[in-house]
This record gives sequence, structure tokens and C-alpha cells, in this order.
Amino acid sequence: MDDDDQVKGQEETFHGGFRQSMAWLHTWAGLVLSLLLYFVFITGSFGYFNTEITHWMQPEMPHLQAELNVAEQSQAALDHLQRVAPDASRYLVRFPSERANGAIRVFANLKTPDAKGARNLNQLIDPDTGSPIEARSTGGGNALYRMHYALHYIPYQAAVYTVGVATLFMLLAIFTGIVTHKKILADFFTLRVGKGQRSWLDAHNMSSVLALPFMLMITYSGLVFYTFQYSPGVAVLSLGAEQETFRTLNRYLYPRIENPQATGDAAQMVPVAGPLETAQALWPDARLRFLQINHPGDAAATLSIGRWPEGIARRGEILYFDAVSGELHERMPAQPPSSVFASATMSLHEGHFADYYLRWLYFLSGLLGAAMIATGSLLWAKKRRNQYRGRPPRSIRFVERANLGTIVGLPLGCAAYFWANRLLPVGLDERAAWELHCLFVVWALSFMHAGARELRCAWREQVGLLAGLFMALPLLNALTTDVHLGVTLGQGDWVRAGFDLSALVFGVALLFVRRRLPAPEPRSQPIIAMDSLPSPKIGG
Amino acid sequence: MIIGLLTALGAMMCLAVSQNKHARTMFARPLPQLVRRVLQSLGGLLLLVSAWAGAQSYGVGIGLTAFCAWVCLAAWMVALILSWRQR
Repeated sequence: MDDDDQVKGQEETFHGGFRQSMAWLHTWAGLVLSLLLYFVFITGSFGYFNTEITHWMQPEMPHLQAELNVAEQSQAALDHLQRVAPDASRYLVRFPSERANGAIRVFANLKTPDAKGARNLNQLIDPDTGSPIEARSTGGGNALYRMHYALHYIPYQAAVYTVGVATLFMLLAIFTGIVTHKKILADFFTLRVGKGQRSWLDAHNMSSVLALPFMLMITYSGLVFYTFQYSPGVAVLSLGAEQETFRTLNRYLYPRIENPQATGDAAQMVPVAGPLETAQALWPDARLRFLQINHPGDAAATLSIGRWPEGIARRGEILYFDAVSGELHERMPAQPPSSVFASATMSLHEGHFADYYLRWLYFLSGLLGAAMIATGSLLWAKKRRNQYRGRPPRSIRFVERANLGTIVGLPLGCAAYFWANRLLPVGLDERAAWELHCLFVVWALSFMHAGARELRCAWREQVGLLAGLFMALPLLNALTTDVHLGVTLGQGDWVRAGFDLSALVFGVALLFVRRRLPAPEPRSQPIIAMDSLPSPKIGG
Repeated sequence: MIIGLLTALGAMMCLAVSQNKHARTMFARPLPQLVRRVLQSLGGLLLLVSAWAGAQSYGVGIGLTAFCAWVCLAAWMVALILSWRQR
């Protein structure tokens, strides 16, 4: 099958040989939910830098110059909790990760609601001063990350099932794509530029074939996260349909030590330095993740210390101590093999183990997945546009504009999300929610703009705007905060500096892309004669 | 880490120019059969070295993940170089 055959093979005919049927399935399985999948890939890619994005979006967070003195800081954090929440059933101290060496987070579950009716206390503590930090409310990187599986504005369960269906379609599109693309090895390095539809096909093939292991892994592992939601029959047939089934299953797959009930007898708790010393002796090179005390001040109080996961593991080990005597009681029970496999698969998806070097490769692979979907959608429209000499049907024109509204509109929304973080008043109620509203409003405006303007014009304007928004982010940051590049580079705060510099680089790259986009046709030309987009061009 | 990426890049370049159409792009003529075979073998060998470098840096599990990413990045770089040469 040569290239012409491959192009023809993707015609929407269900008849013909096996490969033609697979080509039909690939086209439609890919197209139907492509825009949702694009959203999942873009927001999921941002998720690889969720901690870093959150750090940038909270400029009030300190940047620690030195490593944490865990024993000292933990005791200070617990003393603070005992002062501000003396009547609590649980204290939790979470240490900053090495990805964003910022504040210590402290939680307390209050036995009685506070003056505002809250049942929990959640504060950030500056490790250098020991005082609480008033950081702005923001969705941060986690809001973007969460949207890639929970979407937004729709109930969680509905979102999870919607994304699950889209993921199944993606898996189907990948397998049928492999069958359709016969000359995988022969065309492995083939990217012909300036050849119209064929160039889009090459770009689509390359973005999928070269990252095929990543695409297969990320799609399959995405389904593993919700195994029992997507195929509940396995659990129900084995364990019954009672409400308790999934709790039992969860306890089996992820065993943990149950906390004893409080006795009601007061007792003096041991200083945390001793248990921390034991933990550090058992894990000499580990970075600690949290320290938790259940029923503080009670005779049955327990203290648990957790570390960050090692290697490809998803759960870090936990040590359980008697908080009154300070003796080590138990270590975290081992997971069953099936759970270890599932955890490793999910860990591959999330890439928590990745250092910055690998994390960037994850991020770029995610963007490549988005590029694969985008080029597929553009190819679909381009191919059908070429079949019509006059004005194409409304469906094709709709897809062309939806492509622009999504492929450029979503990143525009993301840029607006970052801008909103700096421009919305710090004291605004529901501030984090408003940041996300800004994302979706700008995205909707992008759709409207795509529908209202001539297509080539709209592409140039939106890509130009996107480039401008990203390039100006460091400037906006400098005008609205005191953690601009001049400061962060000097402090060695590479998380914030990296964000600013990355935005700048993306902006410049987008400016380059905009220059390669075709100029709008002269007004004298009828719009119906215009082609949608030219083939990708590389170099000057 | 850098060794892993560089060897993957070398491997992809060898495998690419061992194909006649890409050899024409790079050298304006196809390469002799013997040279193509040598390039194919060298490409395969460099891929093994890259996988080994990944395993050395990260352990086998994460190392193979890194290896897949290096190969993907290297193949893209080679494809872009070939596209640029074609112009």
C-alpha cells in the first residue's frame, strides 16, 4: 500500500477489506471524541507540573534556600496546631516535596466546628519563621490536573465515565491506526513538508508512531485508575453487590493499619524527635512526606510517619508508632501482587518518580498526544474540504471551526487562567473558582471568534493572541508580584523562574508558528474558495 | 542521562540513513548495500547501549521508560533534520 492508498484507505467506507474497515473505524473513533481527548491531553500534560504551577500561582509561598530540619519543624508545626486547634481528633503535618521546596501544610480535624462552622483547619506554615502564610486562593496546577479526568461543571461520576468512554475510543483509534498504517517502519522518519494533505498525514503518523509506547501506556493506564467503576462486574460477581463490597476490596488491595478508638483518658505525648530518629534510621536517604497524630492527647494516640514513594511505587511506606510511649508498633502491610501491578501501571501514568529531565519528556510526550489528536482532526477536515470545489457542507465548516476553537482556544483558556491568577483581586470570594471561570469564558470566546471570522484570519489572530499572552506572562508577573525573574533567578528559585522562562519560550515558538500560517485571502476572493489550512512548513 | 539520549539520537540517525530514500536526502545518492547493513547493525547496537544507559541511570523499570522517551525525542529530531535537508 503506497501513500495514496493510505490516504484513500481512510475514506469513510465501511466496505472493502479488513484494512479499509479498520481505516473507517480509526477515522470515526478518532474524530467523535477527539476534542474531548485533546482537552484531556492538554490538561493532563499540565498535570505533570502541577506542583510547580501551584508554586508559581502562589507567589506568597516562600522559597526555602536550605533543607528542612524535619524534627525541629515538625515539633514547631505540632505546637502551632496545639495552640490554634487544641480540641482536634487528628493532626497532620505535610512536608514540602523536593519539586517545590515551599511551605509546610498543617491540617487538623476539629471535634467541634469553629466560629465559621468549619470542621477542618488547613494552614500553610513558613518553615523559616514558623508563622502561618496567607497565600492567595488558587486552583493551581491541581485544578488543571484534576480536569483531565474529572472535567469541570459536571458531576464527578458522570465525568469519570465520559472520560472513560473517550479513553476507550482512543485505545480503539490507536489499534485501528496501527492496522491502517501499514508502512510503519518504512515511513518512520518521513515528514514531507509543503505537500498539503500528505504533510498533515505525515505529521499525524509521526506524532502517533514515534510516541506509540507512550500513547499505549497512557491510554491503558488511564483505564486502570477506574477499573472497578468501568468494570464493576468483576468485584460484584466475586464479592457481592453490597455497599461494603468496594470498601472490603479497597482494604484488600491497599491494606493499612486501622487506628484504635480514643479511650478518653488523657496522656502526655512523646516528643516527635524520637520517632523521627527511628524513621530516619530505617530510611537513611528518604525524604519524609508527612507526620500524623490520631487522637492527640489521648492514651490511645498513634503517630504515623510517611515517606515519599520510592522508584515506581505509588505508595510511600508508613511507620506506625505509639504516640505516648514513642515505640514503633507496625510498618505498612505489603500490597497483594495485583495491587502492586495496578499501582505500578498508575505510577507510570502519573510519573511521580520522574526527575525534572524525565518530567519534561513526559510533558512533551503529552503534548505530542495532543498534537496527534489535533493533526488527525485537521486532516479529517482538510481531506473533506479538498473534495469540494465550492462551499463545503455545514458539517465540515463546523469541524474546521471547532478545530480552531479547541486546538488554539483551549491553550488560550489556559493562558487566561494564569493571567486571572495575577489579575483577580486576592481577596475575591471563590477566587479559585473564578480563575477556572476565566479559562472557560475565554475558551468560549475563542469558539465564537472562530465562528465569526474568516478561518485563516481567525487562526492568525488566535495564535498571535496566544503567543502574546504567553510571552507577556513574565512581564505581568513582574508587574503584579515580587517574585519576578530578576528575583527568582537570583534566589535560585528555578520552579518559578522555569515557569516564566517556559512561558516565554512557548510564546516565541507560537509567534514562529503564526508567521508560518497563511495570510488571509484578499477580500475580493470569495470565501467559499478558500482552503482551510496549509500543510505544516518547517524552517524559514 | 545525556549518554542515553545521544546514543538514541545516533541510533535513529543510523537507522534513518540506512533507508535509501533518506540516504538520498542526506548524501544525494543511495548507499551501498554493505554500508546500509553496517548502519543498521550500528543503529541496533546503539539502541541497546541507550537502553543500557537508561537502566544504569534509573534502574530497569524507570530506565526503559526513559529509553522509550529518548527514542521518541531522537526520532523526532532526525525526522526534522531530514525534513529540513529536503527543502
